[in-house]
Amino acid sequence: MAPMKGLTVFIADVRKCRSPEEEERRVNKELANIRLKFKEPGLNGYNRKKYVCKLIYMSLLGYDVQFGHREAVELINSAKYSEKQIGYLAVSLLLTEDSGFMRAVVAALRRDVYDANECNACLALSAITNVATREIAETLTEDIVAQLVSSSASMFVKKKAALCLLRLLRRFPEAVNAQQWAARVVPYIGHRDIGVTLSVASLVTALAQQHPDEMRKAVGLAIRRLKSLVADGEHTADYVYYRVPAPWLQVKLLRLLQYFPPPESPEVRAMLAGILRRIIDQSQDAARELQQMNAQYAVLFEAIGLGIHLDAGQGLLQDSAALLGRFITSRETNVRYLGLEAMARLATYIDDVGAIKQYQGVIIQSLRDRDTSVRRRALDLLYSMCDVDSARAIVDELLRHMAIADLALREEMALKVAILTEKFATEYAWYVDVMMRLVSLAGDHMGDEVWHRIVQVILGNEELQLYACRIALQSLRAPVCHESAFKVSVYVLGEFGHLIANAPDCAPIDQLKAVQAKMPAASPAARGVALTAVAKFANLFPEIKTLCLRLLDRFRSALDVELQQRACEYYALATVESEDLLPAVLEEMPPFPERQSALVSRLLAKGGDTEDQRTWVLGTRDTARAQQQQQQPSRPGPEAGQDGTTAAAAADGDGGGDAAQGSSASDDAGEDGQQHQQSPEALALVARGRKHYARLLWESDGILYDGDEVQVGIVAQYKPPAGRVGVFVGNKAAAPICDLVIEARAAASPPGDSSDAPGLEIRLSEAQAPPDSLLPLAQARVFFDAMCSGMFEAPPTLRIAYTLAGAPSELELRLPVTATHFVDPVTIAVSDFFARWEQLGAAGIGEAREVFRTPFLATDGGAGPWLRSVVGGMGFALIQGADPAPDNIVAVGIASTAQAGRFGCLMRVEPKASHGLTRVTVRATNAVLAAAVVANLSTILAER
Amino acid sequence: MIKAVLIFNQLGKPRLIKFYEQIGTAAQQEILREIHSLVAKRPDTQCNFLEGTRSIGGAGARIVYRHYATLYFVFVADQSESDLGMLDLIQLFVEALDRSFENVCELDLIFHFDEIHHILSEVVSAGMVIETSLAEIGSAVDEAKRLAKPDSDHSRLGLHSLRRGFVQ
Repeated sequence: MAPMKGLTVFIADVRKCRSPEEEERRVNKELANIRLKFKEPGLNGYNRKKYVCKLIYMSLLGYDVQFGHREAVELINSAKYSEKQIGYLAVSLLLTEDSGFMRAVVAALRRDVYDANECNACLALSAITNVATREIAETLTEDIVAQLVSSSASMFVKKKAALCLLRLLRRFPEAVNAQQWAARVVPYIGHRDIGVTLSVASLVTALAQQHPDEMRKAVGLAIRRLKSLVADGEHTADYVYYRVPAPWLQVKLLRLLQYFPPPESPEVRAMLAGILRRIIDQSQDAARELQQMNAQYAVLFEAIGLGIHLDAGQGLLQDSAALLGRFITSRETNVRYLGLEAMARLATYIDDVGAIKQYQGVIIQSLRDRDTSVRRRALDLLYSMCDVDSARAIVDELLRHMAIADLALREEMALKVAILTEKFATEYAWYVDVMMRLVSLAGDHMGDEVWHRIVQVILGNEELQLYACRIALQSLRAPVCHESAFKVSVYVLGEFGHLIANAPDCAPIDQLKAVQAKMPAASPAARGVALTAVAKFANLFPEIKTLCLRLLDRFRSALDVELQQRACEYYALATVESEDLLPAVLEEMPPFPERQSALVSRLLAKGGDTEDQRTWVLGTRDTARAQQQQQQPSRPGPEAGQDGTTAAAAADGDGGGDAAQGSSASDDAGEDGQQHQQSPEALALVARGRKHYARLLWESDGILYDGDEVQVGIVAQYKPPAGRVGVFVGNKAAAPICDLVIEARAAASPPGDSSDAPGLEIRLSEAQAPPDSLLPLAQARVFFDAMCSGMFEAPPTLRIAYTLAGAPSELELRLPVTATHFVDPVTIAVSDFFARWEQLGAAGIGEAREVFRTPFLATDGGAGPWLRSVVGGMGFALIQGADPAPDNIVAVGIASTAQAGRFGCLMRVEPKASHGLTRVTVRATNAVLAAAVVANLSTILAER
Repeated sequence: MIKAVLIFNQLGKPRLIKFYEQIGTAAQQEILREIHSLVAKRPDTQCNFLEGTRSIGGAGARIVYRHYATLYFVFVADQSESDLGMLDLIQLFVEALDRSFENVCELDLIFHFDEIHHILSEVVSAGMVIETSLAEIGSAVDEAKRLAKPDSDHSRLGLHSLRRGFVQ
């Protein structure tokens, strides 16, 4: 560019300024001058360019330049290339897409894109990548595609056109009509010009995530291109970067292939494995210069990534592990960093973690690396390599390290320790000990999620409660009790203090004193938790009720509004003249319904967004493995992240299957049926009974039967393969019910099924015999423990027998406990769904398909969301956006059984409002499961 | 995708700011300041990668930087890019600058900021790598220079022609 004297002088002036104030004065003076000049008529192109340049420079320095946009537009309309060039630069740096001048810019772009002078066309294409508008996407896409596929356009134009399309595709996916042209651009991935190939590969990568089917052809082309680069050495000298041929293209192609399912043909797989092997072998030779090493490793790490994706034989992965083992001890910080990162990913998927475990010492050392980036990666790696055997060592190490870790890392460490401990705990005491240590160590540096989670886990596990109480009391008596530890302790004592009340030194009064002693030092929030505990004491221990009241009374005049309110309310509750109120309100908290652990969500939320979907997410081992086991040709999915939900021995497990309820189940009179009656009312009763049953197939609680005499409600919770079903029987009659019997029986295996396969086991929860009589309006409550040992077809039977006013009655109801209740949602990447779908289809293990009549689709606008909540309620994760048709629902779940393993299940629901029909297709790794899902949906749809 | 390319000196003075998504000037400066404060304190023996800050992509983003003499070159990318690929790309970009300016130094960047933008646009477009051959990048830049040349003659001749562009 020709230097502009005025610009040079201005820049030099600004540089000479000694202080920010001086600089601002100089800039303001210039701004005033430029404003003036822009108002003068007859400003020539050169000067306009110069002033616009000055404005660009000021904006670089951080000054907000809000004018000169008109002049920038004038420049892009200039016939002179230099002016046009600066004009477009100004437009892309100074204008926003909502600027009033965008119309004029769009008009200029439309002209320049077709300019015979390719340099002008390139400027326009570049500009579109900066200021894309919907109008451009709608009107120019076709022409840009034409530029890309034109035989006359130069390589320069093709490259820019490809990325221009990519930008428009990302910005306005619905406006560019990608289906129309996607197939036409794919072949250019095999173009001889590496620059074009590179740009097109980026475009195809984005397209592959939206239109996987149209893009399938890219796989073969990409593999061939890769082979020509890696094995055949076909490339021009221009693209050799420090002796590595076109490393960026290699990386791009290796990454692209990870967005597709592994090729099915054995020859292609072998060819690909050969390429990967070659890349790994090439990086073995030592003694290279730094830049070459970088480029080579960039390719290598991507090749390892693809190897994991292909599951290209564990041999390859083991070799990679050995190679990475060398890297993480390297003296080059970059190599250590990347080695740890790649190893973390490998650790998530490799079968034999032993190859990685041998480096455990080194990795733990890396937690103390001087570089914080390296420390982070070491933490990630420890998290993902952790398994039951190494959990204790790793958690201990992390706790030890917590005290000296940098603050930024502590929160994440705390989260990870909490997740690992919950996941891999084999002893209750260990879980409680570690967690209490954790809250004391990291208390200030972690969110409330952690202590909330501890409480939830304790609530969900009876076996933990006694020990937790002891430790809670102990930590309250310690000289220093950290805020979070205090909250956990008082909460636990409030709930379960009675469990230790008979032990020496643990009497109610001792517990109260311990709480009270630490209250003055606690924060208002913590004192609030303590007040609740005190109120619970007042309910639990009549002997100290007066003391508790006295304490509450003191806080009735607390300065903190929240405390004051709590104290007043609790005080009022405890002094009200009613025997039932206090116990009812302050009853022990029920086990916490399991959803995705807030800890895991928090950890995943840290991931941030990315334009291309990530091909993998860091997870812990067992999830990735579980997926491998159940996804048929064992391909590790990229979504190991949704792990952690629990599953641990100690932990509560997840009842995720029924987490999504939505509407209340407290619906009106509906009755379930005694099938032997034939009267019209009885038929109506049966019909409503079916409705209730259908609803309970996707909601976790609600009414199962509502007759004249009794009402039966269900509250269910599942942590597959286990479940707990609460049955509530209420007496609606005016007389007492006696001789009440409530029992549940698993259905006998169908005749002819000689195989002694385990199915559902259901039995009365221990320690809970139902009362044998019920007063009017009273309710009996029994819990059944269900264990899904293997897949089963028929639901169990609930038998309720009773005598009312001398007349014996008996009810036999279907208990809504079916195979699908043991399904947990699993999220997978959008792009992966259909790949797996095809795999499962090809495997042909279990597919069930049926078309249902669903006339309500056309009339009820809420039918679509309702269908979604049904699928979600059945325990499946909806994969949004995977199915090209927006109305279709695709979803994924895993059923867990205690003895038969876990079964993956994919579901596709295709509602057709116009025909009033809905097609449901289910593919699972178990035929019974697939049939059960379809059967349940059939019931649900029929009863809507 | 590459979210931003930043060049600043050791004191944090911006020399080039290029974002590949729409973002306000003030936010851009803030991000630059934040990244400068992060990288400036890291000795050269530490690695070239940092996790993104809250203002730019959080932990999902990677800050990849290189330190040359008085300048820091920073690429901010999301996780769909190869970290090492970004590191190499910085080197490639600097080599392209070097070729164009013959031993590029901070002053070249200051006085020819427009040209730096043009060269960058031959390396990265729409947040994606567009060209990796130094020869190709060089020839594209040269071609543009050649086209822009005649323009300077006008000014040297002092022609105050009232040439306006076409319609607005």
